[in-house]
Amino acid sequence: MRNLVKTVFAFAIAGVLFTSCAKAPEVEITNAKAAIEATKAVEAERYVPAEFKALQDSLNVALLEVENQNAKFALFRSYKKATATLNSVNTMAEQVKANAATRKEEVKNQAQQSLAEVTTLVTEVKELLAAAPKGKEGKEALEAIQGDVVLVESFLAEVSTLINNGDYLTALDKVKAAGEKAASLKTELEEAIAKTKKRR
Amino acid sequence: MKKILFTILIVLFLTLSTFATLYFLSPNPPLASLEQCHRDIATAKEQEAEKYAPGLIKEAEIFFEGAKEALQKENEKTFFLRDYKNVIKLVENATAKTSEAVKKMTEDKANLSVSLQTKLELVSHKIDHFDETYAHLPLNKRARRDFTNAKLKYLESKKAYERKAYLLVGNNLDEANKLISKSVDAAHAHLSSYFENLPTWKRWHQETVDWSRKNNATAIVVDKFAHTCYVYNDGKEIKRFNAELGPNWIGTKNFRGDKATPEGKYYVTKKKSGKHTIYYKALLINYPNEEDKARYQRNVRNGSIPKRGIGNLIELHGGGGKGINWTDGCVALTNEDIDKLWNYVGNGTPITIVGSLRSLHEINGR
Repeated sequence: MRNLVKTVFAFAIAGVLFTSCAKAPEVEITNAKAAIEATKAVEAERYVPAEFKALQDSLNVALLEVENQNAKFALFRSYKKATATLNSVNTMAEQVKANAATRKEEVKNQAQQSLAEVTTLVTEVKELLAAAPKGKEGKEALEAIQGDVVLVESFLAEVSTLINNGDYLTALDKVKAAGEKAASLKTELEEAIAKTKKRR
Repeated sequence: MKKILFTILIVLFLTLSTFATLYFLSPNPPLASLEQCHRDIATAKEQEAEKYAPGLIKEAEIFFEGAKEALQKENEKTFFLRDYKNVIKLVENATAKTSEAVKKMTEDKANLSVSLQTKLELVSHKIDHFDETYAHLPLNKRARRDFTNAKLKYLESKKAYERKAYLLVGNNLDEANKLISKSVDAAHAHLSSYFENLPTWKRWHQETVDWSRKNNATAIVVDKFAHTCYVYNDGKEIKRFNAELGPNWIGTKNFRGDKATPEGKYYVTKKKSGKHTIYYKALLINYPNEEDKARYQRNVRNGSIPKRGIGNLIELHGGGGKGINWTDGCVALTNEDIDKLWNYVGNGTPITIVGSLRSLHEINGR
């Protein structure tokens, strides 16, 4: 009888030990969710959408795996796979964050570089305007170009604002448009000056 | 004792067998469907379904969250009491809504792409039309500013379209369309009012050609819009030259310094060459004629022009060939052309200056 009691008691202890071993990885889940939120802060959705999607997929897979384990009998639960996936989400999130930041920086640099190039082009146009002969020939054409330069400059001011606000893709569209117009103004101006000089 | 132990073991065995049977027969949670559903929603969102079909995506997400909650709820039950039918139904609903959203997004995107492409072409056509037909005309500064603004906004829209950011294209393109339409309409209205004089110009032209025929003599007609100087002899055109005018050549000359080239029937009053002109050779005309003087008086009286004097010394002279309108109101030919003209003309040769010999419709197709 005593042996029987001991056996039942041993089973009960083993059962308690088993059930208390497999607990859902709540800390890892919280960390993984926080890591994804951190990637959102650097606009990963916008700058590395495919990577961001993969990251979210992984988190979802892990959460469903947790649910899968929860569905099992306590003795059979194992959160190892889910924990490993959650840990990999954390690692991946760091990479996605870095990649998003790099891509964002690239686009930012591209926008800033384009802005600098177009600003130089506008300066060249203004220098040509200043150096253009002031005679009556072509005066109206020069004045018209001057008016256009003012418009291109106001466009560039908008580009600067967009860059400062972090909207680099829209800034790129705008700066490219301003660049095309500035280049055509330079050509128009050079032609106007050539015509003006023809008589001199 | 043994009997008791045996009974316990039998009971334990039966319990475990029942437990195992129930466990293995109980339904499995639809995890694969849930994973796939989540992937579908994420893919749809990546393709901007949230922007094109926000309501449907929201519904899909609500169904998906509902499915997850239902799954959790079922998992909390004893395993043999679990039923995932509701979970499966919610996943199916989420998947259906996602498919609907993707379908709507694909259709809307394609339609938007086509309509934006059409609109881009329309605005581009208007810009080109303005560029070819009106941009070189002496219009007001506002028209040029609107035109340049329209072009900048059009270019920006085109760049956004090229990177498929369709939702960013619309506003700028509408603005560009509005500005260029305004410029074209304003320019057309300005020219339409100017071209009301077309019958008069045609009459002057006919009278000049008739005079040439009747007197078997040379007469000159300058068409300002065509920037062409026609030479007639015995009523027939014998030569034509390119002509350059004053910068404000649309409209007749009204007062001194307005940089406009007069319109009317004039004649040569003096031939100037050598040290008498700075433009190689020049034919001075009788501007202002009686009609010009009457108009000037009328306009000064009603305050539409400043009292600056009517101006004079309008000539047809050399020094041209610059490709722009640069004179103070005179008509400039190249030195070579004025040489060719020189021997055909003398004092009294008619010089008729008209706005145009062609209608506005013939010029700009409107």
